[in-house]
Amino acid sequence: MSHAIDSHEHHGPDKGILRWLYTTNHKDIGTMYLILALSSLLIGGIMAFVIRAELFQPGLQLVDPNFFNQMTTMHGLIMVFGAIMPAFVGLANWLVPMMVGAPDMALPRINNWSFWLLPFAFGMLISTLFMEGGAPNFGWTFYAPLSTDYAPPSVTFFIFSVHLMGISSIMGAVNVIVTIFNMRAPGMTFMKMPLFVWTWLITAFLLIAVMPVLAGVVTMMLMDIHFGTSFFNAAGGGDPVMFQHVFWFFGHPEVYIMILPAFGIVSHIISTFSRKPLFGYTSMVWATASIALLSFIVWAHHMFTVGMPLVGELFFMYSTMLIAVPTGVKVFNWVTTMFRGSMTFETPMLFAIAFVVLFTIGGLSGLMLAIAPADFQYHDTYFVVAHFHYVLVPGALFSILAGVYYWLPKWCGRMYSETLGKWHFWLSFVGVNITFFPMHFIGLAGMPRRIPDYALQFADFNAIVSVGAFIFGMSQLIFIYNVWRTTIGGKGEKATDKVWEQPEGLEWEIPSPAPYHTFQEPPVVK
Amino acid sequence: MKKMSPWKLSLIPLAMFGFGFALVPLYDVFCAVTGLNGKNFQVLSVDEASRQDLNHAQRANLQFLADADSRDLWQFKPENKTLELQAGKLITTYYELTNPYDYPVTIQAVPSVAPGVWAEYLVKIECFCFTQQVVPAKTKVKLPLQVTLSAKAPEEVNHLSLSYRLYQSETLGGTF
Amino acid sequence: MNRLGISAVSALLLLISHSALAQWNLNLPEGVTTISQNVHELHMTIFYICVAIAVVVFGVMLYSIIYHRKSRGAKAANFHESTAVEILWTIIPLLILVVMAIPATQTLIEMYDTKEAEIDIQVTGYQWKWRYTYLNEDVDFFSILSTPQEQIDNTQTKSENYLLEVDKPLVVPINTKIRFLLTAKDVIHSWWVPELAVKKDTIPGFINESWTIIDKPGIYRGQCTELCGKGHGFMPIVVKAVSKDEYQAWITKESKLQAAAREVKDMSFDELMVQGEKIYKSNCAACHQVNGSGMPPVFPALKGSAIALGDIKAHIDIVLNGKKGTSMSAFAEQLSVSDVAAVVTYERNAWGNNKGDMATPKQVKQQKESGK
Repeated sequence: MSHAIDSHEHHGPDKGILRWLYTTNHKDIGTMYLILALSSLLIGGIMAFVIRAELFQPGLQLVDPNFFNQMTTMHGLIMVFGAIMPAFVGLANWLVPMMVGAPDMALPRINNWSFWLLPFAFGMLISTLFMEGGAPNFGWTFYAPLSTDYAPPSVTFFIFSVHLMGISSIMGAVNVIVTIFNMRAPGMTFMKMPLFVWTWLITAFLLIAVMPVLAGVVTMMLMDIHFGTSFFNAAGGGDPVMFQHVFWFFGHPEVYIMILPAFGIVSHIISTFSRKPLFGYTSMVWATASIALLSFIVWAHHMFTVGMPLVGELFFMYSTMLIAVPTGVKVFNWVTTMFRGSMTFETPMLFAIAFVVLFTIGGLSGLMLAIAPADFQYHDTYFVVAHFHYVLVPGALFSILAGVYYWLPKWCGRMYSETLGKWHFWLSFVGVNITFFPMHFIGLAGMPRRIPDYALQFADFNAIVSVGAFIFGMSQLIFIYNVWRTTIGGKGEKATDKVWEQPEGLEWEIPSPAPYHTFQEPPVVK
Repeated sequence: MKKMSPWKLSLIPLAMFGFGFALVPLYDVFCAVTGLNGKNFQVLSVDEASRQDLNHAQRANLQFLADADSRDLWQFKPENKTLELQAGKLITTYYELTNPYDYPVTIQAVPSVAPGVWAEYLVKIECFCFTQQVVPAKTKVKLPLQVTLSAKAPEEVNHLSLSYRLYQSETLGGTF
Repeated sequence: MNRLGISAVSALLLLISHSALAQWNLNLPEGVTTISQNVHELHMTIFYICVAIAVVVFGVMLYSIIYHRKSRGAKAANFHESTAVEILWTIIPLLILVVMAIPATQTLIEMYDTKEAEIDIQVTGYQWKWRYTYLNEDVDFFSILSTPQEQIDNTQTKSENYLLEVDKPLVVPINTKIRFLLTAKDVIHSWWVPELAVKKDTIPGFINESWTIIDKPGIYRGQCTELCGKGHGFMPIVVKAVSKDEYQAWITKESKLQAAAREVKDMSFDELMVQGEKIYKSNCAACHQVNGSGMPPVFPALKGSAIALGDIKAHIDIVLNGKKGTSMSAFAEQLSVSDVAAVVTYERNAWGNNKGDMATPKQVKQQKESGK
């Protein structure tokens, strides 16, 4: 974002590569996070292409089953830890200080470090693909003993990579919390904070609560593999099912880590383009907090088939169903915000509306999955694959795309191409539904997930899914070109300071593009 | 306004890392409470077991299983396929095991009870699974087991399955 | 444009009527047990509730998108709070959830019925096959994918039940309570037959329990549903439900056959080669490949290998006891002595190995019993 450099500022950034290595500026670091996320999205996307190409037709055509398992595993890990999470951290870096009226993040050096850990973490993870024995092939959920006694040697690198990502996330989260607590502009009380800040604050607390548990579980794996302990090995008095409990104690809050910030982004965008204040701000905050709290007591709904006793099944079924209530409140609030508004449909709004619709579909299939007796039939089939892709792709990813379109003019001072944006949206929207909607049916008809080859009755729909995946994947190139031409290409008309008609929030009070240093004098919030 | 200290905040992740490990013992408690995994049988001494109310009429069939792969290689099998348990009455039986190798082997048997929720009503007084067993080379041994039914067992508890899986010491890892 | 998109989604949701799904075989099967029918009914109920919720929510949204757009001259209202409304749309979903939870709880309780069964079958998951042990009979066998590798490699036309066929199905009687005691040898697998609505993880070292009563005779197919490694997609489950009489006849025949197979008898070189090829294709070819070329470095080639052309005792030993620290598992427990003799003989003489010697069942038995 070289355009952000303004000559009349106190001091500009270093020149060349050193700027990026040494930077402690929240905007630079935010940009780096976003670029890392985009690169991961492309790498993970290529892996998805490999998966979909193999599944285009029954029979083994391109890859052997072991490599197929490596692809599904790496696709999951890279998309979760490399694309969605860093993208949200990047947005938080750019926006949280600007939204609370702070000059920067509270811990700028920690901020630099938490970013620069990630390229090494992912470098290490991706390097396993070239190791003897291949990359991790035990699924992104890495259930023991497949990931311990039966794992390829590269599992050790995987464990260290997860440790690095975990440290990075925890430092990032601590930074966000301290910034929000300590650096708000005078007058900005908690209940005046923008929703993106609120959702990120809650997300950050989830992160510091569960990333260490993930670190714990991979440490136990490491000890089982190399130091002869038996945490997950029945032979030594351990238990492989315990792995799943500890993993999902992390894993379920993790799911919400990937969606709560999305709620914040979408709330801003819908309000702006409906030209109406967000309906039910207070209930939005409470709903987010209740979802976060409930996420700690629902983990075993991922494990309904491990043979839990009846009381366990009932408890986790009821608690999971409860999550539908605050989630419903959010959806109703968004719809009511749109109701009797004065709507226009620029690209961010299109993505936000698609988010609400498709996330709701994902939420409803989630509700179906919560019903334990029915889940016995859905569990580990493509129905589950359809469900979590609906909440993560047109859910989390669409919100990120919406957010980038929405704030990009503020970041770089130019408008993106609306025409290209609309093409991007419609191709993505159509592609995402062709990809993931048929997966519901394939799953119900009985196709298990994570298989490289399938019975003939699933053939037609798998071919359609693969075509959809290709459309969806390729349409992201339009996005990349659009962002490139607006930022580096310098095309597009100059954005006004407000950018949109009447957006709410401190970030719209500063010039476009946002100067390298903002709010060195804190604004006063009335 | 009071400032939040990042150092103090870092105590949360530190504590949660510890909590991750604390989940290991907590998990055992969880299993004990919910009956998950069928490991939750009671262990009593002969005295304690015989102090149980003998007049209790509750009976249940106990099915003895040997895990599939232990069965072939080790010719590991129960003396009886099923026995009737009665609350308070001690039953002694055994499993047979043959070491096929010409060197002694240390084994550990790992028990599991189904239905898991009823495991707590199976009372073990003595079991070869309590400790590791050394089986001399090329020898057939009888591994003893003494069990009874808990007097607390409700009426619907009329059948239990007890399974053992054998692990050879070299596959146990270095914990022993 | 946007209107179109939204209405397309709603239309799609509405289109998925019960009959359309059944016709395309794209819904949960109703199945052949009371439980599976209850589950199907529950699934449909919840599905319709979800569709109804979606129609209402998306309907209001669509209405706003059409009528409250700036291009139509809509002026934005300014309301942004209503505690009454918030409470209302907290309570209504709660009530809907209660309506869903009642039948769900009932079905779940039925599934956890622990009454004693007439037939107990131990199901053991192996990488990558299933083993069925009839606990009250002398019947115990492996059930292995029978789709030829050529079909998977696309050099042969795929058969009707491609990847859903096994050499020996699990045979069970109808109208009988059958209890499954599930466990695994190596990693976690999951035993799923959709038409029985039975899915249970098989966990090494522990036993899990499940049961079924099948109403209709027939062949029901399922698959492993927990990622268990390379062959996860290639370990199907086939359940053949027959009348009680047929079942009795089958059990009698099968236990005699198995007793006969346990006896060690002499076999000629040609017999060994024929049986060996069969055993090799079903047990070894997934890793070492049909032509013995393996997939180095993980799965070594057998063609021209030092073991296949070296000392026969070492060759028998690696088949019987596996090789520690590699994917080569011990087959002593899975193959009969004559099977081991046959496969060793085959490996030493196939694909131009032409070693010329043979392993006899007696030799294998002797080596198995004397250990290493």
